[in-house]
Amino acid sequence: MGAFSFEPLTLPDAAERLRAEVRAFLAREMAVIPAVIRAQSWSGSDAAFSRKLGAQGWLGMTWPKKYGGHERSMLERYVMLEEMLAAGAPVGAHWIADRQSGPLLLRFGSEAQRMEHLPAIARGERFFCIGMSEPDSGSDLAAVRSRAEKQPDGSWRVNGRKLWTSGAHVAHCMIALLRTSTESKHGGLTQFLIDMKTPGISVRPIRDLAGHSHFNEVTFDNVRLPATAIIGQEGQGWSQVTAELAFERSGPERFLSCFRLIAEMLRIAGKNPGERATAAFGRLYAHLATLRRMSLSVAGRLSRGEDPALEAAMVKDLGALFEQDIPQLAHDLFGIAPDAHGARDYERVLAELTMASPSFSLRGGTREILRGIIARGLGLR
Amino acid sequence: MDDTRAILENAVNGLLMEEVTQKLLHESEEGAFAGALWAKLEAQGLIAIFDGLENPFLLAGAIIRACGRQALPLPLPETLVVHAVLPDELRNTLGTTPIALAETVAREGSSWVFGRAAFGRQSTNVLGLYDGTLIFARKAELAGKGEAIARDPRDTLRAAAVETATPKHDLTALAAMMRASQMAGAIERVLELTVRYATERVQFGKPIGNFQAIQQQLAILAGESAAATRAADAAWEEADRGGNVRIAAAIAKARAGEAAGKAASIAHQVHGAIGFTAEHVLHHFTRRLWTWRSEWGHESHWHGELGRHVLMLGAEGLWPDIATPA
Repeated sequence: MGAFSFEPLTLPDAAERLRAEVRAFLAREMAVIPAVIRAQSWSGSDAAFSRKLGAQGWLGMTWPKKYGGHERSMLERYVMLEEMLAAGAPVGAHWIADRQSGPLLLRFGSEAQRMEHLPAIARGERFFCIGMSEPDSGSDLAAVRSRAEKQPDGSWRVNGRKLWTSGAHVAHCMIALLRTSTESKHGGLTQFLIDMKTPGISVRPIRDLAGHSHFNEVTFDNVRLPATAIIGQEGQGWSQVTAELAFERSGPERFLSCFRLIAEMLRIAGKNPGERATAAFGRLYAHLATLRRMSLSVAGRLSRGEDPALEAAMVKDLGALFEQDIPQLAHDLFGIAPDAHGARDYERVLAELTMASPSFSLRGGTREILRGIIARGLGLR
Repeated sequence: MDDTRAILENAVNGLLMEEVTQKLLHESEEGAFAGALWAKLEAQGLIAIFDGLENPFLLAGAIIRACGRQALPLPLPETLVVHAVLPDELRNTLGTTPIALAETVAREGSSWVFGRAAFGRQSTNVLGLYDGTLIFARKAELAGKGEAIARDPRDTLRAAAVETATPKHDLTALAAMMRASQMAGAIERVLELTVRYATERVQFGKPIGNFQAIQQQLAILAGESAAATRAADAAWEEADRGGNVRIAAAIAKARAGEAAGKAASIAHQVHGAIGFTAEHVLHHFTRRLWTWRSEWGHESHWHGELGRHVLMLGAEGLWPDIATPA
């Protein structure tokens, strides 16, 4: 009837059976991981943990077996993901490769690219980063200036700078959006698969306000790439990237980033924190339950091969508001200063997530860009 | 299951869109009873749905949301909720007559007083809850007129003789779900009206919907609409599954109530002065949103109940509860 719809979804029995397996695994593995590391969740990187998930068959879950995948359903993958995030598992190392780069290669990559990278991603041994943003290309992604120039022998020479590249310091490969023609803004872009060990690439960590170095500046100085480095078609980078971003906007990571803080807040609150705090937890629960139902609904549509891009943008926008409310609420209720070196887990987790929270409505499309997408879906632009 | 809901929802919306004109709304708000429309609802089989139909709650939720979309000034939502909670032998005696639903019940001497009875003056039948027991009167008399800013009747009824029964379902929860679904429907309509206005109204040489400031506000309104509808529908789904209806109802009423306030505020801001006039249709929906969000437990009330649930679950119990098969 309207421009958008969120139909109910009941998870299949196979997904619920998998949930029990994942919980048993997490019960074994998470006991030794400190609360503040759990708070980082999908920003936290732990290569050994990624390899364990690969051994469990939980990476590349939905991909064909010939590429090292496991041919499980998208809804099984959803359940595995939400359990990981709720537990605060350190899934950051393989996150981009599993969520975004692998599916992109499956869709647009050459057979050789798939065979070379997908099995390694599924084993939890190969990590990717995404080279999209640049100093003058943030929300206006098509303004990318880093150049790839075709050489007489068919190879490419790359010069330029990528910015805010999460995980570039641990990634083995980058999928970069580069300008191959200046004739058309959107039509002159091409995606390349780049080995991060290629000569001429330098990675400089950028310290964020919390003191972490999750993201980086990556400089290309006359970097030579073989002709086979192109992903998909020359000049089709923009439409490929648009498809890729859809993988980024609908998952449970869009409302569970602060779940570990909720857990710590409940520990601080005890059983009887008074009427105001009780009601605040109730409101939080109503929002969380509703967001999960909306997110499941989007997952259901994705699993049926539909393209709910508008609904995904709505979940991400509401999800980021919810996630950002939580450190604010913690402050309002308890008035305990966030302290990265505090004695209590609560202080350290609050410190971590208070400082991380501005990024929730920036990464994967800013709030303003998402609302523009929603407005377009409503027929306003 | 979803198809049945969609077909029925389309049928109800089609009928109500044609019948619930602004003229009918004005007349009803001045005190007229839209009896001819009630007869059409009867003829469409929209009232006796708790009589052997599969997934009756899903259907009830869809019908009630459609009623909210059109601001239907008749007690169809109330009558459906009454049918859902009454034991079969009592419900079977009622046919398809409109039934008033009272938010409070008190004893005064030998008579029963039903307070804030929705559409009380339009029915001699009224149901309420007293100390966990259903109190049903067939011959209630109008003891006082009232109306919230919805300008739908919220009357006081008095009865000497009543029948009592044990509720088949949690009346408070179902009544909260009823208001949640009405709000979800009305918010959907408010969103439609506001988007249409923004594309039609020209200022500074272009439709105001071209301005990013307006677009961003409408995107927020759309998100609130989606959340209210999903939360409200989910509660009726839970009722058909036999799950924890009380919690689902609390989520629905609290989330839809919060959305109602934000939606009304954005809609009026975008509509400007014309939306503030009696002549414009917007207020039929926003006045009802401001009424329905207070009835059968406002947001803080249900937040409190949910909060006690969360505190009982504790840090380790919260996630398993949220992820319980829905």
